[in-house]
Amino acid sequence: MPAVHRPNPQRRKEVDAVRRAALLFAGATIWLFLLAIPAMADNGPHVAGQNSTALQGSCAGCHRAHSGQAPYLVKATMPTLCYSCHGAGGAGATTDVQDGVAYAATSTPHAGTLGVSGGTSVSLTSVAGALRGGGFQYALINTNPSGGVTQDSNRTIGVLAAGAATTSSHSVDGTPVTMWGAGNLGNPGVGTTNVDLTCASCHDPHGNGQYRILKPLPDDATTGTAAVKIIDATAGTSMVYTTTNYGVLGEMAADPNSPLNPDGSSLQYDTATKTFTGTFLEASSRWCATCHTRYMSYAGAAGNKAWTAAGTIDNVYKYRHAVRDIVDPATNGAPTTGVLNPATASSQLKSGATIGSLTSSGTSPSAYSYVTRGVAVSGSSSGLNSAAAAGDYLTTSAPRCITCHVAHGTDAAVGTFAATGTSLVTGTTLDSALLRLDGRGVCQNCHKK
Amino acid sequence: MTTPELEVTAPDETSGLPIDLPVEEPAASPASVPDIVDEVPVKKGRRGKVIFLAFLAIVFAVTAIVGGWYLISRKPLPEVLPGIVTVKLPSFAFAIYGISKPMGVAVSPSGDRIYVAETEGGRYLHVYDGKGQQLASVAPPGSTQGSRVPAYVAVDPLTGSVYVSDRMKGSIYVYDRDGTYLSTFVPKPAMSTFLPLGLAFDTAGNLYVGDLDPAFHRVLVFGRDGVLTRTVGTVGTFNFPNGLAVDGAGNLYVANSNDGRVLVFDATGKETGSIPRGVGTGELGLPRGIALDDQTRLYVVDTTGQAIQIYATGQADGRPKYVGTAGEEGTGDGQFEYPFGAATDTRGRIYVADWANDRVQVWSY
Repeated sequence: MPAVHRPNPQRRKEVDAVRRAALLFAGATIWLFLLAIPAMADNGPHVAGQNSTALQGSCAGCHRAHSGQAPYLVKATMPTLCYSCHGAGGAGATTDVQDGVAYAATSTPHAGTLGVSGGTSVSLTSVAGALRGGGFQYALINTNPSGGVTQDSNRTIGVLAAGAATTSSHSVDGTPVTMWGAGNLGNPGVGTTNVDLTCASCHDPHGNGQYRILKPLPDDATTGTAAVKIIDATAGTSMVYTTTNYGVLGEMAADPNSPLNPDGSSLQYDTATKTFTGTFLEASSRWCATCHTRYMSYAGAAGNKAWTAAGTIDNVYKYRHAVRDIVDPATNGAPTTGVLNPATASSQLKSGATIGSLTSSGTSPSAYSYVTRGVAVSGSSSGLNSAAAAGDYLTTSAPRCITCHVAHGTDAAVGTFAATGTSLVTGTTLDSALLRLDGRGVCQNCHKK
Repeated sequence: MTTPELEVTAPDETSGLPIDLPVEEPAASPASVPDIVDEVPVKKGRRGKVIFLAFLAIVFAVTAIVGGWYLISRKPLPEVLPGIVTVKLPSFAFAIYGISKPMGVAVSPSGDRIYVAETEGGRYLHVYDGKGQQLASVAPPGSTQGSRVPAYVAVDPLTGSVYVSDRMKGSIYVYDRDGTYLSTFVPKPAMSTFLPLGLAFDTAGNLYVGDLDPAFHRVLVFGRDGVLTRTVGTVGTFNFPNGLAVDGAGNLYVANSNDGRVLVFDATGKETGSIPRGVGTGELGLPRGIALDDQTRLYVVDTTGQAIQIYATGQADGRPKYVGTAGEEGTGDGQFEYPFGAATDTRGRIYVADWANDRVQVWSY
């Protein structure tokens, strides 16, 4: 019978011991490997440089060729993209359009100083300069400087020490809004609804030499084919973007930081030439009118107490406040929708003799007059009451859109007449129609009724 | 008697012997019990076994120590076991949500306090514990949402106090580690223009402030007493300097945002190197946040690059050496949308203010 080999117990123990040790060693090795995996990221999911080469460069700062997130292949929607520099905190720009704040720049012509023209920078205190246009979420406009309901003329509209939530703004956060007065004359309704604006609707991020790099024609402009060039009257010396006060009627002064004196002894009115010298922004009203078309139109046909001229009656915007810079399209190719003719209007005003009060009788436009803010003209204390001065009104004295309104946002408390909803950002009721002053302050500043 | 011839045939399956080989039959034992043959144990000295087992034990112990150290400190392997060369890149760990457009982030050295400045919403300085649980939301006394914009944050290494810049107010506010307002930093001598943005401390506790002075942007260095000791940069040096970081040798790293570069200055203020702007690997677009860790790695948050660029410092030519990129554009974990500030703690964690995604991301190794 063959021999039976019996394992040696001692050897079995030794074999088992080695086997266990080997298993432990293998387990430890595996454990070590698992711990090391996060450190060996070259084989992990976060491959270095996956997109880095596509994210550099000036174009790539804002655009993506194939993965754009918004129109024009921009990589982020506006205003997020723009706020990354022009937003709160001021990380990359001298303007903070969320807060309506401007910081002094270091070079002309963008010397955004506190109201000092000529390109000279001045030291800023803790209160930065305020943007004339306000901000989209907060604005620094002292919209109730008198502290009461009744506004006074010659009001100096100062700058708040701290931003106040806006009560209306041009919507750039994606909220569809109504473009008041947009469209053709005679259209039904009040304008174009569900309009979605962005920063690039009005501004050209690539730069174009315009004041505030405004587009010659804003997006969604309902009229006009000729580009509107907005000129800063002080271009070449400085573009004063900020202000310590908004002055009387805002933009009418050459130096808006110089308060208007009742005796006319200010930069806003030249007593020698009997003209107002405020020419801050040429053509700005025309530019606004490319979107708010029907505000600048005139009505026709007898019976309408407006400027008589051939044209389509607009049942909503029948009578409109005169504004400066609206010229006959036949003469300079401006918006083709009917506009006021200053030459005609001026002659009509010149024939008027009732300067000092507003009447509504008769059909003659000359029955209409405009009470000024009380600036003496030709020795009179009742305002523009001379034919010569009246003739200059529309070309030199009439308000512009931005005389009463702001471009970005205002903190004025006006009431519900222009209620458009609730701010998605501040939660405040939007009802101030981008006006500079509370209540009817912008009216009182001129008409002093 | 003749010897029978041996014929080689196939082995027998049982005995293994050729089938035809004569088999000497053993004498039959009375009980027919097979012999039991004990295996002869392998001759192996006891000493050898002990040595072998001891070797295994040492290997196991080293593994346990290394693994434990890694779990605690999260140090990459090459730092624990020198000689191992790998590309060290962090990965996404977790995020803190509920913040409106965070711009600045700072963290206590141990990582038990995270500070985040938000630029929208309530515009608070938020205080979190190390796990991202919110502890407080604070603001300067008497301020309103419209009167403040907290931007960047830095932690005083000597006291743990938290410094928050506000360019709009021209101020730096100081809080304790739990968010209690302490004071407003007053630079000395008094400055007619003070527009602070980026903040940083060196190991000695000197405060570095990126000042967007209208004359020229610069970095101001203040001593512990608030006195201005020196100015870094002159006309044309900086263009919206954002994030600042200072290493142990006093070298200053500046995220020169609108210039698209990171500039490096030595302790005397002399420029010694830079990371260029461009489209190449490791080049920058809009650097805003910047931070150094205790392994002298430099983290640069590229706002338009939507990623963290990582560099090794201390190079002979003064230029940080590109190591890798962490993150990419997007809204998911590990993705960024216009990130801003950055911070690190001693545990190898990196904190990034993911501005447009309204969160702070925490990365680790």
